[in-house]
Amino acid sequence: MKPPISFGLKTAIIIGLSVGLALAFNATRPDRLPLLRDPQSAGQADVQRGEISLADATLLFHSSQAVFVDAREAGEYAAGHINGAIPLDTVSFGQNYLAFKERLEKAATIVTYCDGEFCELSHELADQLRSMGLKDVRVLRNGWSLWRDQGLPTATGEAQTTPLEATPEGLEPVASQTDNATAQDRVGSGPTDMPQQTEPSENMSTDAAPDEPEQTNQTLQAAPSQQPTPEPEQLPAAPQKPAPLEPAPLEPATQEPTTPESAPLELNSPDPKPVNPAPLEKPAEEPHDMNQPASQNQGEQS
Amino acid sequence: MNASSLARSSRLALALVFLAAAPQKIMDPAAFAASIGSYLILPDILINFTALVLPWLEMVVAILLVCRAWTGPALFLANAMLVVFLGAVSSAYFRGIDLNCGCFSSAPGVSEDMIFYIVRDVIFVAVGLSAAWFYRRGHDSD
Repeated sequence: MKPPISFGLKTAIIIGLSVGLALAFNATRPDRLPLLRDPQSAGQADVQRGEISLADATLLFHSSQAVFVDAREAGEYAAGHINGAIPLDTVSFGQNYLAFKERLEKAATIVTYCDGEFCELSHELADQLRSMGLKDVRVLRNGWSLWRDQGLPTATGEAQTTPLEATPEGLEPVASQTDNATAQDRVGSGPTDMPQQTEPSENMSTDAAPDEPEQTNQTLQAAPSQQPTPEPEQLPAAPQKPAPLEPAPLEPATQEPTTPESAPLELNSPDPKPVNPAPLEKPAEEPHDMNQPASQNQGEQS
Repeated sequence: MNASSLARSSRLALALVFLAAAPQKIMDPAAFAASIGSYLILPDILINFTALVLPWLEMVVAILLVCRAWTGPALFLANAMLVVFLGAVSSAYFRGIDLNCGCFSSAPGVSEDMIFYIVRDVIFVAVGLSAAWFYRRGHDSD
């Protein structure tokens, strides 16, 4: 048995040798790693990658200057998302982008997020949005975890696909404090004389409502009692079609021409299922729903 | 299979683990640093240093184990690293951190099953402790 000092000394020598080798090897590398990580340079690198800090994102959220876009799958979105976030995953981007086009184009800043430090979906989505001509697109890295852990406003539920069917009757209109812009954004044609925006007040938490940006089409499946037969086959196919606010028959007319324009986008979509059959048919059948909100957030909010 | 061959096998298996793990991290320390950072354990200032040194420590320990030189300290360091790795992965798992293990690859990516990483690390620790036990019993002395 060797004396303890010998054991310790050998251990120290091994560690010292490893440190020496590591530093020497790193010094010879053209792309050497700085020995000490500089948080400032790391932050600058993040900015160069188009990322935004949680603090800045929170400010934008509370000032309603940003539209948040969830790049995760629909199931993860339904399980929980940033309050008011748009579900727009990268796979079905071409299919769903048009539904939110106006809202995204009117946003001062777009913040994409997914979950996990190395989740690249938000970056991919940001690239896709930039390729559509949108300028100020930021990525909130690990956004969902950070947001949720900070106790910031969240919501659950899936995107609404057939808003008129799902709109509960008799909802009290909520003052359009959160979304004068959003109401227009949501509507494809964005008429200025639209009826007053209504919000599903029943599930809204009072603390989140005043500050939050608008609520998008959310949560029909999350509230099965309100919509027992939402045609589940169609829900994933047309998840983010904005609901027509205006006299319903007009809306399809404004939306229809956009579809051919989206041909390049739809080429990317593996699902040939049409995006908008349900919303287009419904308005014609139920023109009395003029005062229904463009989209409802009936999700539970936390 | 006698104790001596078991001792040799466990020592070489341990060396193989580290030999397999080290090169990629040595060649891409920046990605390994990103992996370390994702565990949210180390302060920022230590991440790069750790990312640079740890793979080389694995390499040196592996070489010592293969050469059966300074086996005691090498086994001690190997087991210490394995226990730390296991603790880090378990900690990340229980904290709900979504991360890439960074164990055998320096490239961060989509998280795989954390349970797999934990079970694998437990096996590695078992192999390391076995090698140390055999060494202490004199079955695999220098």
